[in-house]
Amino acid sequence: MTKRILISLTIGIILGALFIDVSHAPWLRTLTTGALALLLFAVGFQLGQGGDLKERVRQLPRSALMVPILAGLGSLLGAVATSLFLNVSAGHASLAAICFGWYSMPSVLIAQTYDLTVATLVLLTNVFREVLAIVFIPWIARRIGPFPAVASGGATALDVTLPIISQSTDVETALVAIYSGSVMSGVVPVLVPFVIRLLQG
Amino acid sequence: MILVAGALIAGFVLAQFVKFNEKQKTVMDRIGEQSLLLLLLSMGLSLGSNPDLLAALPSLGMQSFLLAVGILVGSVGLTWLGVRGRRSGRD
Repeated sequence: MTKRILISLTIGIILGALFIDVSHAPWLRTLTTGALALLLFAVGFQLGQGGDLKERVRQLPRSALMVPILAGLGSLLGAVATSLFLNVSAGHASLAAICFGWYSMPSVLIAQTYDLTVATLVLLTNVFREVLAIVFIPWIARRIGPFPAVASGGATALDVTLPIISQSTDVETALVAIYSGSVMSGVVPVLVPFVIRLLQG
Repeated sequence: MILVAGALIAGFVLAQFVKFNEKQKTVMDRIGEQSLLLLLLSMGLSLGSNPDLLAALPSLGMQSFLLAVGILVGSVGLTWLGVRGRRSGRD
């Protein structure tokens, strides 16, 4: 799976860089949205085939509730620790971390209310985070565990990485991914302006 | 968000009310796999055709990449530690 994921993404990036113009953005957005809808339909179908959903939710370990909190704190710790070795302040690294893989809306907000260079850093970091999560989720699920695989997706566990999590783990973990992705997506619009205000002093 | 919820619910409802045989389920799985690859291809096309993103790569690319690696390692590592600890405890 990892190999096919990498090949599709790489071919897309190369073709996009060589042949696709910005004017194609609307149909590209439609294509992405259509593929995502089809994919989530298939995930919904898998969830429906999995038997009594209520019972499955009840059987989830309580530690599942901790996944978004651990993933969020871990993102923050990882970013601050990495910033010590880079020419990036801990504050800006934190700003990149608390977007949890969501790069569109937070980058625009940061560019409008704070700094364009920091917005670009946040955009690129979260694009890389999403791509790394897409590539490594099958490996993380297999070698480290299903909940860490959910954590790697951050907010994208609700949409783009959900199908990969679902295919690499099981129905229960897909439910945890929906929960974790929803919580993380919900806090980003609150956390980003808060951290910007802190940085502006 | 509406699309995410709508597509998920539609798939779930279909699975509840229509009983598929094994062959039809395999077709459904294949649709899921192929649409995943299509999604990744279109994401790649979007990233590759974004001039702002490509222009920023030489100056901020390596820093952003390393920061993303740190974030990923941090989130996976802390979740692994936290879930592992709780599983051996209360769960």
